[in-house]
Amino acid sequence: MAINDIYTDGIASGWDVRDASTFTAPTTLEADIVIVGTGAGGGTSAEILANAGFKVLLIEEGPLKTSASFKDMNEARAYAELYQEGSGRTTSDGAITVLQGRSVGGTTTVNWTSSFRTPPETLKHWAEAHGVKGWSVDEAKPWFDERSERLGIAPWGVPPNANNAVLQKGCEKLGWEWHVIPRNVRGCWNSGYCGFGCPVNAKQSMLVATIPAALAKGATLVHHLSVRKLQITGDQVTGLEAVALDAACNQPSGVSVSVRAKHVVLAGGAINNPALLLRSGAPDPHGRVGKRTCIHPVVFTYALMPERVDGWYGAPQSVASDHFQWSGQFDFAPGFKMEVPPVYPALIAALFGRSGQELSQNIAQMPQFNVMLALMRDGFHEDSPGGEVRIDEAGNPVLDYEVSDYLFRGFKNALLRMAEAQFAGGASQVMAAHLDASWSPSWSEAKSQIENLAYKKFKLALGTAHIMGGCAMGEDAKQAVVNSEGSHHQLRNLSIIDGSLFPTSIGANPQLSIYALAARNATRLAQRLKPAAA
Amino acid sequence: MTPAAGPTAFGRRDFLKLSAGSAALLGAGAFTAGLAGCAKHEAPAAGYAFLRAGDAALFTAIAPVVLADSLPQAGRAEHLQQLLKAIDGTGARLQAPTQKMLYQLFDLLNTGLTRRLAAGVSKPWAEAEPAQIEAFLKRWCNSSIGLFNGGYRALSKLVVGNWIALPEGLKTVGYPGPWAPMYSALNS
Repeated sequence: MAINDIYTDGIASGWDVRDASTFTAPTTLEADIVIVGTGAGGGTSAEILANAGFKVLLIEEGPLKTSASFKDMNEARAYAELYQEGSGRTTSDGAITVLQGRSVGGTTTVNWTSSFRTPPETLKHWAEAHGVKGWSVDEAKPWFDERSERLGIAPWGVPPNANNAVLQKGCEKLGWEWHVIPRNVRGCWNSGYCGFGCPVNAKQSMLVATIPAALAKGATLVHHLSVRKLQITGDQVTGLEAVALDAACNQPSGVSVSVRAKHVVLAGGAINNPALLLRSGAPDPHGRVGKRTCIHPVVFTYALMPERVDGWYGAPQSVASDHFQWSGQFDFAPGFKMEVPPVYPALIAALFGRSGQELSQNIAQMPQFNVMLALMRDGFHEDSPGGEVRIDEAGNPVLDYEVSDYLFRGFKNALLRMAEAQFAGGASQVMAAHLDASWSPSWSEAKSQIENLAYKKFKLALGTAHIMGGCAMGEDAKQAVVNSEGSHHQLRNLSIIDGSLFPTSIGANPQLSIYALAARNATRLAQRLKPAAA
Repeated sequence: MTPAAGPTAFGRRDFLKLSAGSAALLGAGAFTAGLAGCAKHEAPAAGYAFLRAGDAALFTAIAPVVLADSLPQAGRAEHLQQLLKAIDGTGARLQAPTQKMLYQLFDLLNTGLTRRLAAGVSKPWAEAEPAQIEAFLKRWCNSSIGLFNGGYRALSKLVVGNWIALPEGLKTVGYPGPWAPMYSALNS
């Protein structure tokens, strides 16, 4: 059966979608509002601002890839075309793998669909410790309700796949809290290929949901276009300097593009937004740009199950546990959320960290693998201040992230609890993702091994798929880059609307936290700008 | 802690000595400045966008050892060629700071003195025995020095991640292929 390609049909009906790699001469683009980045923040803002009657220009550095190119369901193609640095991005020391999207729709095109509301504890902490106003549990609720409706977000109604079922069974046996994960899907086939681009447009990503709606309202989308600099005069952004990229989306094509707009929205994510501000010499009197970049550092454990798991098939994430998230000794170590990653073959094999026969014999058993992960709630304690985005001499973004003893203690706690859950969930053998670890046949053996591992970078396999902060929001300009609605503290026609606003990590997969905050901020922005632009 | 395959007592002592010397070298800037000097500015090899001739030789030598039975014997030369092209593509898509970090690692391994000191491999990669390469990988994996662990992770991840993403590699992990009900519906 053929799945209609939204963009093929839309462009035929007159949508204004341009591929900057085909530009042959310098160009100037104009709009009421330019949005740099098309992920959760930019995509949400685009629909709301276009609906409010503004002429919106959406700029995306990555390519436009749609369901037609996802039907091969191929992992290699996805990493090469849909991820930052071909999925090879890391922190500056190489110790933490960074999975971040880079195509129209941003990370929403490739994420695993988990859609949590910002936990009430996090919202309270932001108000108390970071001067965030107007985003309390009660004030945020209508925006979560509205976004959930817009994007089909509901707890997954199908039984979990065998990989997720291990976590559910383990939690049930141990008496731990667990819950069904809400997902942003409509007409989902339960195939499990969310990370390679949804081939049936079931995932309500920005690529599928909001950007087509914005284009239908007359917005313009230009992809293969990288914004290098904001031109700033006094307290205003007067223009953007951009370069078109080549067809491979790798190198500048040599064609420059200027952008003029009354208002500028940055939505390039928590690495690219700070880098753009730093390259532009944007006012930053208190040195806050790029600071407090939180990442939910993730550790992993593998389990060998007695039966086939086929963890590559089925909704990738449908069960989570917050049992160790909000109750614990947080002066000692951070709380964490437990989930599973999909068993995507290349991802899991690369993570495995072994070589020779030890590698080949183990990964040959991948059909029986259950893999568990824990994401650390970073940014909530003075010993967990997050990392820092800076730029190198050529202006490229670099993320420095030091791992404190506080976080290492969290990693150890999490590896122990995951191993315990895996054995309770029926595992025959369990092993931590650590270069010195080996398979343990029982919980007691796993426990003593994990307690005695060396807690060091590189020994531990560390990853992140959630980059947050770096342009923190808050009322105090000494602490924050923008106010609580995303308006820049020094530049009056600049807003930042995406996950880079968060003053800490979320404590859950962040996409719905971004959607709701972006919807509120874009709506307020439209109300504020309307008189001047109309 | 039970390292899966630790070096022998002699090997470990030997390696600790080696490590101390290498760490001093690294501290002196071998890793960051690139002792290879000219190699730092060398262009990618013909047909490649990222890998230089020495880098391609390095991966040609280590990939069969890293992958063992995950790299089938039949058609091995052709598979290695596909893998090198895939690693090259991965490298070419990285941004400059990550590329620089990898080139520093490759320079360290492609300069005679640092290859001997840091990796314990006396001959150029094209002539190195599989057993020597295996010992090098185990030492870097088991080392207590983070830089070596990091170098090991980078090399093995490039080889394993790229190989298992290729059709022949996918077969070796028991992946039955794209979920059939959807794949056949969309591609028929």
